[in-house]
Amino acid sequence: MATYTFQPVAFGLFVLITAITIAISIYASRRVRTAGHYYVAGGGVKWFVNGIAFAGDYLSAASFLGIAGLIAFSGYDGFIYAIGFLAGWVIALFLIAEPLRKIGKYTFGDALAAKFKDRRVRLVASISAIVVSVFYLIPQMVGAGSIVQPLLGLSYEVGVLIVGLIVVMIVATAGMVSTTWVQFIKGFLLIFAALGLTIGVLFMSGFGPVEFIGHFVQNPVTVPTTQGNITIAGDAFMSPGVKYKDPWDFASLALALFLGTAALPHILIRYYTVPKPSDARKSTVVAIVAIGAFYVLVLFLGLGANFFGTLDPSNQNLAAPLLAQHIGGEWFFALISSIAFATILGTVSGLIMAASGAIAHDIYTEYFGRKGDDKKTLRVSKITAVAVGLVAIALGIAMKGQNVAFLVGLAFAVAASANLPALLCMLFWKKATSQGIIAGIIVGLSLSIGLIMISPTLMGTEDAFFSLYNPGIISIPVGFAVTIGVSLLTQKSMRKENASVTRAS
Amino acid sequence: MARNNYTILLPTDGSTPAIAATVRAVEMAKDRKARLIILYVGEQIVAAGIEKIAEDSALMRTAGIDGVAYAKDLAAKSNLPTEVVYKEGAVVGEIVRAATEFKADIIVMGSSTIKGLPGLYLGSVSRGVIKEAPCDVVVVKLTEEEMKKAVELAHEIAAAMKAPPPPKFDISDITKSRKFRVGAILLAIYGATYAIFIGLAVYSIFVRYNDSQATPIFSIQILNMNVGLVFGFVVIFLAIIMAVIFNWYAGRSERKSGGN
Repeated sequence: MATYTFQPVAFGLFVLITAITIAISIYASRRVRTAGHYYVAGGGVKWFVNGIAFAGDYLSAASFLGIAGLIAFSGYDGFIYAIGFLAGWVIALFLIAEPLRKIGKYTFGDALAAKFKDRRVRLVASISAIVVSVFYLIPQMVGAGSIVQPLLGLSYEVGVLIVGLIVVMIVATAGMVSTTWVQFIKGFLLIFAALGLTIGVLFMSGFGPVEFIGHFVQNPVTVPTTQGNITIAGDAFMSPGVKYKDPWDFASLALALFLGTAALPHILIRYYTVPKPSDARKSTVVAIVAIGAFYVLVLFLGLGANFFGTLDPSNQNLAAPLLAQHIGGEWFFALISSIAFATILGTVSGLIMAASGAIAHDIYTEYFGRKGDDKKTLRVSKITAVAVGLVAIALGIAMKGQNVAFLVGLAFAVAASANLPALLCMLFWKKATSQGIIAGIIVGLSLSIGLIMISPTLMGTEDAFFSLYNPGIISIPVGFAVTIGVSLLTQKSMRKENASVTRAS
Repeated sequence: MARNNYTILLPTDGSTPAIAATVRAVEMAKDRKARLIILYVGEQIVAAGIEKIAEDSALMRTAGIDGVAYAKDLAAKSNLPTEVVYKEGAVVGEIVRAATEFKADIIVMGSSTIKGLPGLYLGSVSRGVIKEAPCDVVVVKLTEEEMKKAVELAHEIAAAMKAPPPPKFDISDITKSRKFRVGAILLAIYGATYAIFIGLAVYSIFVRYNDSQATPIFSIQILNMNVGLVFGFVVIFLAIIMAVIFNWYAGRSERKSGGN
């Protein structure tokens, strides 16, 4: 296991760059209100800001640290994450963006309650939003612990604790007012960081982009493991099957990635921030272009890390920062680590906003009917933020050593199983009933989590009751089947309700 | 009303300080027989859920009070004619612009004095206006008693106004539109491409571990790379290209039908 020591210069830079990121986000958010010169912000920029903020929200530690690591260690099986994470946005663009904005509600639970007029639907939907957000928070914490390790020389656990607490404090105090701008800035930072690293990789290796990938296909590849190096034929490394030896496992992951994006609560809340449905669409297009460009670059980061051998087999997530150290020394390492930290900060604030929105708005204000007092609502949301953050820190420590992209893949499976059937049926299926939606969310949520509990991730390869790492291929179809099935079985009661409503009016 | 009248500009957002300013501005307009312009600036802030609640709370926006309606009602009680102007953009800039545009003699506004970190994030609008304004600026400070009265009155007015009916759950204008159908077709094409891609990948894994005779399709070499990589890039670029084309098409069909 590699050991790391405290690097004062890198740490100083890290603190400086993080402070600058926060300062710029404060400046930007002030400027839209208090800019003296009225020509600064035209009416059309909202969708652009929102689009880049989408990318900032979405490109989490998983994309930057996780996928780069997976590609460096597992070649093509890491690349599939990049492809799948982007593919899901196509569903968001063509099916979800404009209709969801048209409904114009606050949260996922709000939108469902608007159609079904059933308080229980709201409750179940908000619980699901919280659970998915926590699942998504775990990998962010793992990422945070990973980057602190080489920077401070502290142990992983202490790293998660410190960074987690700092992030939660920032979000719970200042972040509530203007997280959008943090996302916006980090969205830009990430793309520039990936571009800079890619140029560095190509420059130092002396290859052109296509040549560089070709080099891997043609030559044997060395992959370090905790038990020593192994060599794989380049052709095999750059084909599916290095990590996923069971074809079903690969299919399950691909399905979850494709269907998960459009069901993530912290992505969905962003659709309510733009003024018009057409702006929701434009934001999504901006997001797709930015995210797509990033995922092409991330392939070079992963392969570059392998090419230069900047790999720590005990922690895959460090591939990109260690690559930066190799290319540009301590300074560049500090820069990339700070951007990774800003990434975690941004995504965590988005997730905590989604979770505390679900509790403060859906459960506290609407379900329990405590309306009209913003101050109390806000206090509840801050308490939620801290509580959710602490849970995520604990789970993050428990998941030490896991690849963050892999963990996010699990969050996608949970989101796709629990939320997507409800979302699609609400928007496009007239026969959907509130009972169907409730049953679908509960079964999708509990089945996907249950299968993860008995999967090799938590029980070890030998003892697992369920052999697939990702539960998507079972739990997503079951989620849809239950939603549709229960809806069809409860048609009678819905007709009765409708009839009584008609009589009453 | 004469054209060269004394003009008062009252920017309001329904917050407690703005309501205070409204009371003072109406008094002033009455005394001076002035022209009163009520300005509402729609903000450029992109805020989601809790962010919005946090912001409203920090700015002391009173829930459910429409600042413009309150100012109009208050002025009407004194038989004062008013003009209402809606703008959208950076708040300070729009206030300054409106003051220039309407040749205002004075701007009457509240001071939110936001405390703590939200203040750092949001900045002070009144300070910005004082710095940039082309005319006099009055920043209103009401006594506590006056304030209480103003807010009570605001709540009365808000209660008297009927709550708007909840919007119907209706997205049929989008789902029945042609651009949505085009989107659905594009999604079907993309979904099929992705399914074929994953199908071939799964087949390649199967062949790799179970059948040493056949070649995994994804490992066949082309262009110095292999089928799997090339196909993967196609799936990535297809998403980007489809998104851009769809956006262009949808934008055009929206312009044709006039808005969305």
